[in-house]
Amino acid sequence: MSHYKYDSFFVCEILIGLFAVMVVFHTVLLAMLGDSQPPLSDSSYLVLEMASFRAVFTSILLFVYLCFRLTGQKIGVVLGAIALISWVAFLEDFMVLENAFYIPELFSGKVLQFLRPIYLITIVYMVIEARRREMNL
Amino acid sequence: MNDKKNPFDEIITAEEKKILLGGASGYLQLSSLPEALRDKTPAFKVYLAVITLLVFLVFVVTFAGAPLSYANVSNTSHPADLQVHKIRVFIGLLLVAGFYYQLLLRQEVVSLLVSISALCAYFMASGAVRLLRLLPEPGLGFYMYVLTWLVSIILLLLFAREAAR
Repeated sequence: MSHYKYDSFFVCEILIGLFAVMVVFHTVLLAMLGDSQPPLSDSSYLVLEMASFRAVFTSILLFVYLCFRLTGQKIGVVLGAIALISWVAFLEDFMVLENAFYIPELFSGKVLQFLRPIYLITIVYMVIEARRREMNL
Repeated sequence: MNDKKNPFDEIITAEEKKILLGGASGYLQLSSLPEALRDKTPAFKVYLAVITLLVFLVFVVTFAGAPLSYANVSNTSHPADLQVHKIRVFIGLLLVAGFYYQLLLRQEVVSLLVSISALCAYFMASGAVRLLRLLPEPGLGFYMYVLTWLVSIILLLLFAREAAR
């Protein structure tokens, strides 16, 4: 853990943490308030079904990352796995599921839409940076 | 006659120049498959053969036509499910190609294998959640689906362990 001080990597971690918390928060909010509009197509129906699953999966990944980080183990592989899953999920959303997360009435959905590209770029940067640092050790 | 010497000739030696000009292309040069597998264990080769065969079978089954169509393979007739399934098969093939590329470059493949197994876990979990919603009750099809993915994940992790040796 001492190899990762308060630098750009730390800022990236805050961004990733913020995104993960927002995913969970948005999903809980969605479950509590519900969507005012019924699903219009197969893809939007699938989006709603996938939302809870994504939140659980995001929480598990975040928990695994935190465990590795706090115990001082190498995080390059974990970050690589998280980045791969995130990009595949994004491709699925982008090509099939239309606006995943986006519920016009909920502000948290709009924030997530804004944070997602930042998150995807940040996680790739973190993978490269973590691997570079681990190779230099 | 120009007696002026190139300043770089004094700084860089001929050997260093050779490394600088030829080093990068040699580093990115693909080796043959026998060369790449020369220092690997027999178990690594077996895992590689089995996983390649499995991916090939999935590819054939997915694109085989009516009896083994997308709808049958993915246990659903929803267009969105079928599209997701198509994208997943395509991503799987891309990852296998990426793995072979990495292997032929003779670079480390452990992290890629672990990432692919994590992705398989995501596919398994999302598919299982979807099937639980679609099917009236989890039957043999559901358990076969989960079992197939579990075997794939275990195979990939064993493969990663072997690659690390």
